[in-house]
Amino acid sequence: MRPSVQIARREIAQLFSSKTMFIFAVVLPFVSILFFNTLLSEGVARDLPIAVIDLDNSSISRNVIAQLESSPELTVSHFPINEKKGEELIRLGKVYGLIIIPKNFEVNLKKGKQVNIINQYNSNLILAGGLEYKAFRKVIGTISAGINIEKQRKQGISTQQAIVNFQPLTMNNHVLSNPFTNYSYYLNTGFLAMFFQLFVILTTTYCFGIDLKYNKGNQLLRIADGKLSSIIRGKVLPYTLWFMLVGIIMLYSMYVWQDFPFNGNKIGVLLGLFLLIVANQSFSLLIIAITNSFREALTIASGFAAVSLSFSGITFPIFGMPKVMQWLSQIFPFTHFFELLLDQSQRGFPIYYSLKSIAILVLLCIVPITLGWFRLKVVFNKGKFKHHI
Amino acid sequence: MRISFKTYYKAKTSFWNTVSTEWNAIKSDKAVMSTFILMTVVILIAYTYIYSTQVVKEVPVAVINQDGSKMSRDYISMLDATEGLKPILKYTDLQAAKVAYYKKEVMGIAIIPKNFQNNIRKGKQTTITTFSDAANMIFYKKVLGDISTVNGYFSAGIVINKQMALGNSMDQAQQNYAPINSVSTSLFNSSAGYANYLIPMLTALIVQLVLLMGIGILSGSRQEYIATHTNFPRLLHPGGTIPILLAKACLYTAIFMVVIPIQVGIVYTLFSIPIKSSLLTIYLFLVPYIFATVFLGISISSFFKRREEAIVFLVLLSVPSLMLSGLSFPVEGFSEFYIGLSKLLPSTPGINGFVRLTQMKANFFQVINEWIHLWILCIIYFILASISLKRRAFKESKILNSRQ
Repeated sequence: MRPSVQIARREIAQLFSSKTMFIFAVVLPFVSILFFNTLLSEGVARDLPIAVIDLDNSSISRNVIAQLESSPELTVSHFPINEKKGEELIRLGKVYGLIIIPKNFEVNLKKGKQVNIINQYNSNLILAGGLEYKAFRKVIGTISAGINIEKQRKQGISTQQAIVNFQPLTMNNHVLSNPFTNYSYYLNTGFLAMFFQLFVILTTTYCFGIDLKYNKGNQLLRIADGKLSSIIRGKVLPYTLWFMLVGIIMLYSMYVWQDFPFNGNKIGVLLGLFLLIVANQSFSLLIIAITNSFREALTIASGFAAVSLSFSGITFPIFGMPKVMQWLSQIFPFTHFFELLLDQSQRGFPIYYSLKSIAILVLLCIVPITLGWFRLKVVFNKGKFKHHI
Repeated sequence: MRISFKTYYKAKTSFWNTVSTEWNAIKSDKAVMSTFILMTVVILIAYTYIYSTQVVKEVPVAVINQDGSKMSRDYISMLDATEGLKPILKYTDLQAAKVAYYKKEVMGIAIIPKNFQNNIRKGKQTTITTFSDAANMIFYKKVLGDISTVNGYFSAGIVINKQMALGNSMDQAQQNYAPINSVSTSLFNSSAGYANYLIPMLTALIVQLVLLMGIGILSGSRQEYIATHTNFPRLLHPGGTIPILLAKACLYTAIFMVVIPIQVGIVYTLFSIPIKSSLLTIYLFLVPYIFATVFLGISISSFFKRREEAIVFLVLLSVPSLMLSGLSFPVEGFSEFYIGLSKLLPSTPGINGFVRLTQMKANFFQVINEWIHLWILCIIYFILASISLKRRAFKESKILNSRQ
């Protein structure tokens, strides 16, 4: 039997005999797929609670409240007695915004005076605060426009002309890629792919590390006739194939079960997935090569995979980061895979424009393992890590 | 009387023994020390640095000007004046702009139609066409939001100018145009900065992460060397877990009382993130948070057979805890099941309370619900932790006895 096949068989046997390994490689990837797919299944935040102080208590102010209530994003949940109580509600986290309708609102409006409606919102919570702000402006804008148009109609202007008079410049917005502006499409793509690569890098690091921790490097070399490449092939390839399957299930969960938009090239995405797996395995070999203990290797590997989320530009765009961080972001395979995945799924770009991401991913597969090769040989010849703990 | 004194004396000895055993274990374990330092300071600084520009500025947008009039150029300069957008004018048609979008040179496209100026002068409605990419929500919101704002102002400007041409005063024209004026003020973080938003959340999350990791690593190695009950001999006696658990919680609390001011002092000052509460309030709030997390850590640490496993499991826990805290995506979008699950994690009330105290200028009584929530978790996990420790100690002593 060829040595790499022998090692692969040993590896698969270990996978089923070690509880930890089984949990990492088999159980948790599916738990994470289930978790993220169900957590954000709504995708759009609706009925954010707000507080309203109505100092006017007139029919128009009640109409304003009804309009706010009927907007899909908002729900009026509290009526505090004064501003201080209202702000407290925001601090207590009970509401996302406080809207104040001033005294004499109706009287002034009828007199033709401009009236203010005040919205104090919580922009410390960027997403929810932003939604509240936008919804409020939309509701008030619509009411205000209605009054303006009604006034013009009283002067004998047709409704159509009144609308044109009110708004000489309109917008025709085409929302590309994610026409429902569903947050789940945006966040889940990132989280699921990030967790997926986290499992790849951890499993690979773990399967090498555990042998080196318990001083089995020599034994492996003996099986492989002293060839490092056979060991790597035998240990890594079964997981490459396995994670390819897991990855396909993950993509299936997003684009088929959850019906995320997919307009691009399927082969391109699968190629990217394969390269993401190999690049991460390549990085974990580099990490095994340069660290002194199993614990260190796992810490660095998990840290590397975890920060890749922030470097990918999903939470904050890469071009807005400081220059050094922009450069750093390029060494994470996840950054390029995420770009490729979005381009080839939601955005539906021609595959030509993803060639750059693919080329960089190929590079990230080759470079780390090449850098770590000689050190890896030394470690395996020694048979174990420098430190036990 | 004598019995109670004896119990008290034994508990006291056990308490101080535990403190010194645990402290020595932390001190001598390179892994735990490096986790503490790496996580609390290095990771936080690195993360903050990523978000240090706070807001997204100058997003490139292709503007195709099919009109070429003075008014269209005014419109473009208004777009240019926004903080968020940078109009790029070199594309003459939609095809060229599309290619630029494919190459990621622009994040959106706006088209100013032919006869833009003429139509406006004649009183006809004109339409600006936009294309924005919602695959990335941050760019999408910037592009569409800023163009809408400019559109609104431009429209208003035209109408008000017309009214003034008819002899109305500026004030009157404005009143006629918008009978109701919406005034929005943001109470905190008025620049909507990302670092201000994310870093306080991370600070609180890191407390949980570091504690769980440290406890997991220590307990993992005790499990490897079968040393739990030899390290803490009182575990085998009835009621013996109480002083041991309390001692551990107090020790970690003491460590964080030192770590937090250093961490917050360095990172928040370096990147000028505001802190709107006194250290004393933060301390008071953090006590049950640390206690609950320590007990949670001890409860789950029996699952880790090896010290390395703790690291991995807890890294995996970090992103879901952040999501479940409800500060990144509003809880209103979660199902009942996840809302319930989130309440079992100390990080949910911990992060919420910490953010409200430090960023929203809440006083202690405004986070009292979270504080009580943490104490309840503390009691639940205390019970679980004592059961878990007890079981482990008896199991270990059985193994050792059978060996002898």
